[in-house]
Amino acid sequence: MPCPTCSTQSPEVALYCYRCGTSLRGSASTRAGSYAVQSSEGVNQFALISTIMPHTNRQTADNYRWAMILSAVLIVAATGLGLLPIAVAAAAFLIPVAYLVYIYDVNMWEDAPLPVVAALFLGTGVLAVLVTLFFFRWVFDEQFNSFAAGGRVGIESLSIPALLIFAVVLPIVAEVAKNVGGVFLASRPQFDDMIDGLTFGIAAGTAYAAFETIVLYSSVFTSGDFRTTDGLASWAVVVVNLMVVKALIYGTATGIAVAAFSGKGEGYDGFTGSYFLAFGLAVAANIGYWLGVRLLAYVPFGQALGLLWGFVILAVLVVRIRVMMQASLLEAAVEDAVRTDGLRSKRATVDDSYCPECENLLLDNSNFCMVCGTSVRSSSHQARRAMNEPTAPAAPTAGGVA
Amino acid sequence: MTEQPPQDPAVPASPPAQPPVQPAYAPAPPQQPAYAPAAAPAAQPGYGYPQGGTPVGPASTAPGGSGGFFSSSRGKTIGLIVAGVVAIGALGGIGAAIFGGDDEDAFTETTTGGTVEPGEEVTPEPDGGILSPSPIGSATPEPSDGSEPSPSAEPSPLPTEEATPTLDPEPGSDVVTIGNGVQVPVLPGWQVYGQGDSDVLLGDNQNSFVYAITGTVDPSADAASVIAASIDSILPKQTYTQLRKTDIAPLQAFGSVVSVAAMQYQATWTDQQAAVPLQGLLICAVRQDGTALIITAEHAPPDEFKDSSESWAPVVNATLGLFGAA
Repeated sequence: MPCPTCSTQSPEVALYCYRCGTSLRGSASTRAGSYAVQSSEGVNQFALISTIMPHTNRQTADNYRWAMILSAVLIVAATGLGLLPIAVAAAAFLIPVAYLVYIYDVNMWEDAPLPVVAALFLGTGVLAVLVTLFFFRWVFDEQFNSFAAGGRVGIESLSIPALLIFAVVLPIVAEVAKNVGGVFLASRPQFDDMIDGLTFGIAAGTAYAAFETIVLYSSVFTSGDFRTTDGLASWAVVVVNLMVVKALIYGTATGIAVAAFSGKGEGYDGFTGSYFLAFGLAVAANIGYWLGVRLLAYVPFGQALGLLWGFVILAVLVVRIRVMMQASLLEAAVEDAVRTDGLRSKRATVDDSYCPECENLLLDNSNFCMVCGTSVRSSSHQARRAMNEPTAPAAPTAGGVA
Repeated sequence: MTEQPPQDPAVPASPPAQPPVQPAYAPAPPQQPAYAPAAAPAAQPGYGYPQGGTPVGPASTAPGGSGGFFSSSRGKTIGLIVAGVVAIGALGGIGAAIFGGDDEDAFTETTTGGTVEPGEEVTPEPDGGILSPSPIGSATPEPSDGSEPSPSAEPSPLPTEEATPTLDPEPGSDVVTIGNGVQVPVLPGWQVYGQGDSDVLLGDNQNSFVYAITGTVDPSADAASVIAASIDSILPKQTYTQLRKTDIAPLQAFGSVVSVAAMQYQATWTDQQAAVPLQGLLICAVRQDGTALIITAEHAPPDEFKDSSESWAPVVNATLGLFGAA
């Protein structure tokens, strides 16, 4: 069966071209309904785990989903009990902790765990602390405190310079800081895949959010009240925001930028126009988020509305990542499928192996599973390593690297 | 999960290992797939034909299942994440136990240290809290002549029995008029951050803010009861969290003011972007015509509140002086 896109001959039973991922049994919209990273989901679907953790499959994605739900329940319970120091610390680091486990789980760090953790979590954390102290404590504390004092007067008290500082300038500076670690790692040869860039960007963004949160809410750790009994409804909104919305907006926005740095093809693209466009989108998302939060603070139920606004921004970013990944994976695969220089993509399979998603066999030189349509580039690094070893079929071991 | 392949996947029927020399659009080898597709299974679970189209029988499964491509099992993944979150939460709690807990002392010290004993009529209840009863403007009933603006020589939130509310603001300062003709002076170094029909917010660019709001009450109303009734509006719970306040203490009336009361508070102003700990002084004065004025002076952080009184006390003094003189 010839592929209408790249002319590759696929087996008659194939649903997708194993070289370029084109749907062989339906229209182009069929492919749009099947996300290349996780084929059981649509591209325009708000599916969080497969978006921020693209190397998971359906089974392992459930592990993270349940782990985060369970952790979130514990954090909300701590908030309800007024144990704010516990709740805020745990909320700040829920996503980074989950992400660290994920990076370990899929062996993102290959054989260099220390540099990866240092660059993404510690390095970004130090930058986050410095930037946050600079804006909120050292230089512009008066401007931010005017937000606090002005709440009773209404939006008439809104200081435009303060708004520009904390909703425009700060997000720009912060986005630069968030990109440093991810871009550094994405420029390493072993991490030059676009999915690696996305992953590192998300990790750096969530780490930045965590450390920023600790600095900005440090008063809960120094307050005389270990347990708070009033204002818990407000704190519940704040904790959910810190735990989910802020962390993921920071992460997904930075993920988009660093993924653009990696680029869709072999090697990394670097600081191209695409990168700066993606960087601009990341900044715009953060600015839009904080502008909305700041302005909604002056209306009734402003905190809850700010939280909802954050979810809207997050949904846009998630869908944007999925569309970007879908287009990039398919375009890169087509380019690989029609290349005439005889070179093999280092991201395609070598010999036959198994699809980590559906466990059907992957043909030699596959970019996609011809049965489920999942990109082999979204496989874990262990699986990728197995696919790229000419000893087919791979037999993953129970405990780790196949 | 998947049914057994009809033939050993390790021995592909027709391995497509070496594609033939390819034309421009490099078609893949035309061979059959490495596995032999099974007859369409009637009840194939999830895997194998994800689009509901022609079912493709999975010929084989990866030994050990797809979980073998990950370093962690389900239990390990969930356990690591939950344990990590719990551990960080515990660290937060330990941090609070170590670094927290001294605010109350500071709060008490700020409001009591160096207190000059007030007049008998304004002495707080013996166990009525830690607030010194006449923080600012515990004025003599007769305001000063106004020739010399006279905030306390050493401005302080601490009461000075001789303290006199300033009748006139300093020369060159503006006056903002809000509802009921209440005037709030804008002293040099201060600016108006926002003004409504009946309220105004001033700031000194040094993290001190004075907020004044006026309204009309029963002239016989006690200032303390006005504070009690207004506290949720002045310090809304959705933003002023972790609120700790002293008891409301009556102060000595002056001029046309028939009732004065005050309290101090500490709170954490909370929103989605940050939390700001602050300390404030709230004074309510009720005039004989029923006009009430509530004025707050706030500063962040709380441990600088006492020192910051040098900046905000003249504003509070002058505002109360003008209010009582009307």
